[in-house]
Amino acid sequence: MRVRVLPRETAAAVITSAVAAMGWAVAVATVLLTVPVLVETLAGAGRLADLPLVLGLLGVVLGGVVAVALHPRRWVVLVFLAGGGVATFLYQLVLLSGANGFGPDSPYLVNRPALALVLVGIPATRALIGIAWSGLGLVVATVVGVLAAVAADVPFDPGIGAAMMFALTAIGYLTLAAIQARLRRHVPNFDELEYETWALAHGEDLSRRTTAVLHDTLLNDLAIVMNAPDRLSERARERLLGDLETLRGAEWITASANVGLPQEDAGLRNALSRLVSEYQWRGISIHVTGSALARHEITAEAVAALLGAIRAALENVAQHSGVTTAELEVISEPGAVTVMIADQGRGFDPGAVAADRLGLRASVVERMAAVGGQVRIWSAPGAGTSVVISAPTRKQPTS
Amino acid sequence: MPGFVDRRLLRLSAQEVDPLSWFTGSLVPLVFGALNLLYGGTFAAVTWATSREPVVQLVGVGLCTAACLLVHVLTRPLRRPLGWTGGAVALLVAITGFSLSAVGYVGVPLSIELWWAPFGLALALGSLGPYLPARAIIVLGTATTLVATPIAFLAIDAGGLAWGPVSTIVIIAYPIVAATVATAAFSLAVVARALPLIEKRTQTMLSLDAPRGAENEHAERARLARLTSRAAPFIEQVAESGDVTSADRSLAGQLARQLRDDLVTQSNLSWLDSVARDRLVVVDPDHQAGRMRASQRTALRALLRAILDTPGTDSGSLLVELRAHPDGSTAVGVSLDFELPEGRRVMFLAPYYLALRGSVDDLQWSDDRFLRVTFNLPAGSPPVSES
Repeated sequence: MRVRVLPRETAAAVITSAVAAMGWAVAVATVLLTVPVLVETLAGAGRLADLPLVLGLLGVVLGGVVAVALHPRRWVVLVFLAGGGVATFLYQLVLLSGANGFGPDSPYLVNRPALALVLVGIPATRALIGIAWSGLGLVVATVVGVLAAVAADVPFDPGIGAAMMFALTAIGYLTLAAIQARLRRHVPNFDELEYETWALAHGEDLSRRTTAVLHDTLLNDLAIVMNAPDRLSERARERLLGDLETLRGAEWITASANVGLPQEDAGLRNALSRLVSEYQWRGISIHVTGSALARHEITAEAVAALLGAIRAALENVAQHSGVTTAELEVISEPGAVTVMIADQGRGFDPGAVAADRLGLRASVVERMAAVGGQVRIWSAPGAGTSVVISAPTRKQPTS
Repeated sequence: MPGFVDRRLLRLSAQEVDPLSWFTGSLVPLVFGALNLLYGGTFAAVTWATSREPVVQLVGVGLCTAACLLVHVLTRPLRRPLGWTGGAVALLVAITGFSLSAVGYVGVPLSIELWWAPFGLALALGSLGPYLPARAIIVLGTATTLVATPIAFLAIDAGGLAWGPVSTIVIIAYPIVAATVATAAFSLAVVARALPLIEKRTQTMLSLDAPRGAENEHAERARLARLTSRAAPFIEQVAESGDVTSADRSLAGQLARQLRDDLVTQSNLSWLDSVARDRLVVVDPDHQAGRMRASQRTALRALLRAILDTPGTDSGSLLVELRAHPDGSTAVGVSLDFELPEGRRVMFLAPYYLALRGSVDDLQWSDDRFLRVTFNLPAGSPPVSES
């Protein structure tokens, strides 16, 4: 989801054009509310015979407003101003003419349809355009009023209705334009900020990728050297050189390149390296052998259990074995990864460990059982200890 | 037009859909209040000699103007949405002014077509346009018409008018009805046009490859070169010779520790730290920053940057704290000793606050000199890449 902010120019256009919708609504309300006043006033003046004609002319104006609202195009508005102007002229002529004509005392009733002419514009994107349309409507309304007064031979009285509607429309447009102008000064460019967010996320993505690759290459290579015999095997040398080539090319530092290391697998191997390093700092020399470089698809829960179990086994070596060296062998098998931790220390009798005693049982056996793995322990007093821990994997390992 | 069947068009206000357009939008009630004062004051002055209680007219004008000012105050940027209650209170104030004016003209020959009070009430109603949904405007406007028109009819009709009773009622009601219709139409038009624009944007995903890809990749290559500058030549030398000495093992251990430290440090950095750069304190022990969506990150980052860029800000006191709750949600707090005067602070920070309000839940903003912003991220928020 993006920040819910419209670009300022778009927002300005939306709001300014909404003023046109206000105009249409008021125009419709004006015409409709004129009807009861017209009926009562004509009845009071004994001119009910004129009612169908003036109602019909009001209907023409109303139809024009609806047409503009449904099809707010320039030519539709111009046709409406022309047709509505004629209808307004006839409406005013009928009311102003005759012995009981509504003269200068009743501009309110006479001018009603003229208001609709002022209020109908097109959805303008700029305030000045909206004001110009309303101004054109005022001109048409005024010309129509003058012509009707001349034709009916009565003094021209425009009233204040049309001018007031024009003023209100102009003030509405100008107020909203002022708001938009202030906003442009105060509102930051959230589009740019959002773009920066994505750029930062992209940078983080690359950093995570670099971190993962360095863990899986250089850091593991250093661990290999730390635990290597005096002469590296050909396979180990190839691995080191291959990793260096990976780092040198760094082709994976692109947004589209896929490093292809399942996160859990990288986590397992990196965590294993860290564990080994940690215990080496505590005085236990650990020789890592086997397929430590194989990649597995293994669940996060299994990784956590496996690492916890390995840590508990190494802790056992550090605290109880009485020796300072241990072997850690990683064995990849179809459907499982197995880690064996072996020492040549004093050992113990597994049968003599109390059933309620925590330690290897809770830390190792139960932890692995919970994720579908298993633990086997071989030990005897004076014969060292071997702990074999297996965790299920999802597919065949690849080197 | 499918938009017309969308109930949200009636239930959302223009301000809710596009809050940023209205954070300086309290200009609308101010302008309407000024119009009220101008027209009502002029009308009261012109009818001063014929009015039985001319002062009452001024009080009425004042109340209708006060209604607009009340809307202005209630819709300041950091306040809660106006709501039905706020709108009703403002209209009650305006109706009181309208009624006083009607009573003041009892028995006085009056051109009701030009009477200021219906117009003043209409302006008060119109000032609610940006802040209330169309539904509320229609209900409140109808209620205002039904309450105000009979009061005025009963008071003014005694004066003996040229219009018949139906016409009198219609003429009194016309400005109020027109304002109701116009304001509702305005609200509907803004919501109907803005809502699809905003929602359409949510479906537009920027490609992760696009933003500054080359720039980021260049920076990452530089970082990689720095991280591997010692270890890579060493591994190369060992791999080529094939021999490993005790000194090599020792050096490998040193390099591994150093590299691991560097990588752990890098892994612990969040996007918030990239904003911080020693200018703010980030407390995020549970690494919750990574759970924020892109829109939330943008909004919060923009707010933090705005605060940090504010002259006179003691950036050392800016604290951003993220705490995980047992229910999986995350509380985010931003606090700062902030000494800007409230007016400037509101104008400066309101756009960021409003943008943030559109992206998070339970946003709260304190009004005292210590800026405190708190909000919750719901449990299970997707990370930025899933937005």
